[in-house]
Amino acid sequence: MKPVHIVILVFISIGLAIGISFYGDTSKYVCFAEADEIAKDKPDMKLHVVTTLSKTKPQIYDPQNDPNYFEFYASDTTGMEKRVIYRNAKPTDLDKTDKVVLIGYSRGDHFEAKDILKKCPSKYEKK
Amino acid sequence: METIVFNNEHLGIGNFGHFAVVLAFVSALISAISYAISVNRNVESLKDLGKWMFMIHAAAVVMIFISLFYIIHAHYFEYQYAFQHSSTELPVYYMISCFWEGQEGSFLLWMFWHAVLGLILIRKSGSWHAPVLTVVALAQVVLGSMLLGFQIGDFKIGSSPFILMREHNPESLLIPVLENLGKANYLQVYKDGNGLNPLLQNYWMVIHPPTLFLGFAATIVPFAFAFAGMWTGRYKEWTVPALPWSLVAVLVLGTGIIMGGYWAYESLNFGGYWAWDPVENASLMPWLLMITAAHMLVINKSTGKYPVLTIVLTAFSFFMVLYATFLTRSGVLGNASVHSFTDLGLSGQLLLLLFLFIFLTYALSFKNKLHAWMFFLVCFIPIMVFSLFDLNIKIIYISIIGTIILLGSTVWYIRNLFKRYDTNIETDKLYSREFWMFVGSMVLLLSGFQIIIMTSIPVFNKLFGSSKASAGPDYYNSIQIWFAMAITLLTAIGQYFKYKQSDTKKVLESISNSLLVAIILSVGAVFLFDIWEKKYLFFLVTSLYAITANLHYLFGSLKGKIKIAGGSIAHVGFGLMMVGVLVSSVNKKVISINNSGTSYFSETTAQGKVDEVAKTNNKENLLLVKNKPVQFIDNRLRATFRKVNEVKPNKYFEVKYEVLDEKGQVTDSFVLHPNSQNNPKMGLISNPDTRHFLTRDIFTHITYESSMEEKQEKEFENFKTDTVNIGQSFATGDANRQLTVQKINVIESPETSNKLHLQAEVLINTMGDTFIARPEFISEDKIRFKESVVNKAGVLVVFDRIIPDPKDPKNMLFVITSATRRPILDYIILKAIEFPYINLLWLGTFILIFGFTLSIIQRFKEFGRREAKQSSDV
Repeated sequence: MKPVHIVILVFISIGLAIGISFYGDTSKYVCFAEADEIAKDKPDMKLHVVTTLSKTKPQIYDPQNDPNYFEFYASDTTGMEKRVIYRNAKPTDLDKTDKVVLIGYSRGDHFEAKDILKKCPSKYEKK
Repeated sequence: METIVFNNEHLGIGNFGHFAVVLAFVSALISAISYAISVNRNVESLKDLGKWMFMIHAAAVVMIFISLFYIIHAHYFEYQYAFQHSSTELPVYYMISCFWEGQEGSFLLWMFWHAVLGLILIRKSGSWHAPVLTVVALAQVVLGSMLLGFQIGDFKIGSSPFILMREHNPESLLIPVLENLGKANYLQVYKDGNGLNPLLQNYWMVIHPPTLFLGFAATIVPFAFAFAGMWTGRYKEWTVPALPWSLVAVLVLGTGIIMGGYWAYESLNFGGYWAWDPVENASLMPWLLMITAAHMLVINKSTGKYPVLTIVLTAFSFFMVLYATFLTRSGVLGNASVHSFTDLGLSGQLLLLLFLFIFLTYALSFKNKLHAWMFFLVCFIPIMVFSLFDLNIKIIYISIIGTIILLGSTVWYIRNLFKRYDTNIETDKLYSREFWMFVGSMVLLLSGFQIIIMTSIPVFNKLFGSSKASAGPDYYNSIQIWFAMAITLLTAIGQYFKYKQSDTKKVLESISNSLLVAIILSVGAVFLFDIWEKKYLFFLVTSLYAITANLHYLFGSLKGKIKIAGGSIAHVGFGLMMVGVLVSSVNKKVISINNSGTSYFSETTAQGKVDEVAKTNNKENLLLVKNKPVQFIDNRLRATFRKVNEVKPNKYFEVKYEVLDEKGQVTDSFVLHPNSQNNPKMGLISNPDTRHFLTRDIFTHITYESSMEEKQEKEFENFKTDTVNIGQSFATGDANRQLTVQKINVIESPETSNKLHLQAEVLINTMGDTFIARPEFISEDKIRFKESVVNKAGVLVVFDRIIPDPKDPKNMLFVITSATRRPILDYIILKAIEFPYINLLWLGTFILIFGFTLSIIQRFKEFGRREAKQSSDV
């Protein structure tokens, strides 16, 4: 075997490894109920939940007391509603959006969000 | 249906613009056809027709541009584009940015650059003129169709930038106000547009998108040469002109990407220059393929090796641009990106654009023309049907058939190429430059492959009904660092080898010498940069090695001849960039940590429970009350929020920073003005402000501010009554504030009138701040009180009565009732991040760009010489 063949083989196998690991490593979009199930076995697995903000439920953000504590309610695609805690400043454009993707951990009584992905309501949107 | 004559509309300019769109489309079509026939039949007159048509096309594109700009500039809000993307307030220099906010404008920009490149190619491509321009003109036909805006039955071909607002959105005429005013006068209601996204109102946003689009547009040129080479049978020569153009594409696209990163760093608040967002990745994917192709072109031009890989990569870089356009413009990214793009209903058309070029390229690899056409039709027709028609069959079947066609045709294409080139890769030597460059290219390709796969997750989800979530930045970083390590390493050793065969001993000697220098430098760098984790250490060594080895090569082997050293210089710049990326991200530090110094209000966790995740909770946002200095990073930095300057629509928060030494002495101070805009559509848009030092940046942005809080008066509590002397201090009910009755003013006394009116001056001391409350006591027929509320201290003081001191009847005592609530304060919530040595990244970028420019000049000269030789041979 020539060096080039070895190189090609090595790279094809790394490529395959990337392709396979892509199915193993990354998390899935789940709903709150599934998130609870997963959290029982793997409490440290980061989960993605597509949610809608519950605008009627109260939000708690009291920056003078703690600028790194924000609490709100969101419901997933099945309609299940859950309390969400986000230990960071309240995302200021949150009230202007309704669909948010929560990334974090399920904690039984609440969802501990590490990241909140919002659609920025840019002017691309039709009115 | 009634016909309404609408008042105050300016339809002339729109009609003109639309005429220009049609003209651009038709002239590109005629140009492409004439050029194509002139290549196949070798008719010189048709080539001239193609050339003239292309020039008319270029003029028409400029006309579209001018018309649209005129509409935006004159504030003709009857046009959807102006209404949606601009407003009367918008300064002229940002009006150009309106072009890239909308999709139609983006396509227009892309076409504009293609037209410019086409004009350059007409003059400069010499013997390649006709076939190369065929490709460019064909691309213009397809892009031009995106702007047509024709509606044929259910089919929409393109989306016109000149559509009227009332046509685009007929409901706009149904609003109640117009019942009185009359629909004809609707423009009296729509006096102003939606305005430009505030994030785009930034000088980087004027220059970054055009650069990026020029980079995208430039990838068509190397592709066109590859295509032309296959078409006209110049299988080997095409690499000579393609090489400098591939470098141009890499340079411009790379510069555009870096500008985007710099814009993000300067004006977005995620705290960084790169977030692996799909939209960012969409520009990186073609760049990685193009840089790989450029390296393969270098090898192929010098040694004639790897012809198949070279041609495939050159073509795929261009396909990747089309694919990236599909990703970002079709709405498929959905949940995955913070950027949102609406679907103009052009996804089908975008897919057609992509597959048209793919299958044309594939078909060209057949020797037999009939086979080629059959292959093209068999592949393209099903894909066309799938893209344009709603077929009422399960998407999964379409996906499977589509995947089979795409994979199968790609395999067939590569097989054809191998047959055609009859390559013999057996001759490779381990100690040859081409071998190591090949290895390097493979690493680049893998790096790109990983990004493409991860970024395409939303596409796979759509195709196969899965629900994989997109990966975050950490995931990308953890994988890409290994590729970066390998690439820097190969960058370092690659140049020492010579093409074909090198003197093994000499090469190994040079390799180990510069490695030794890199390791010695790393030992110093480790202490300077404070990097200790193993994988980062390796990366530091390989990056420094890329710098030392290339410098060594530059001064040793090339004897400092700058003109031919473009490659080495670019590699030095790349190494420096990698050092900058490594140091500024590994030691990037949020410095506004909220756990010391403030003690202003205690931190509480919900329901007093201790959660494991909450333990590692985020403390990165800091409360800064106006005029209250807060110290952080071990008391080495002090920040004071001093005031707000309002320049509509922005609020600038003046934050003074003082750098302190161990003894607490101020050694340096500076003022930052992070700003925010409370946009009615987008909420708080906050722009950071960054202080640039030579060795670090301090980045500051506002995450919240007091005026956003819902103002609600809280009830007073902790009522407490004290009986005191003048000058005696006492605590409030919550024990947080000290009150002192300083003196009593007699406003009216029974001696002059029939009432007693007293005012107490009560000094309030709260956390070092002092305020004065002036409660009053009035005794007339009945007793009345005037309470005093000091909002900033959160204190209520009531002057109840006066009583004689039982111990000393001559002395009077004062009865004061106090109560407290939370003070109402002006404050900001601030996040500050320190980026160490980020200037290495920017410096590396400049060196990289400089090196590329040198290479481009060098390679164009080579092409010039080749063309001159060819014409003298004829």
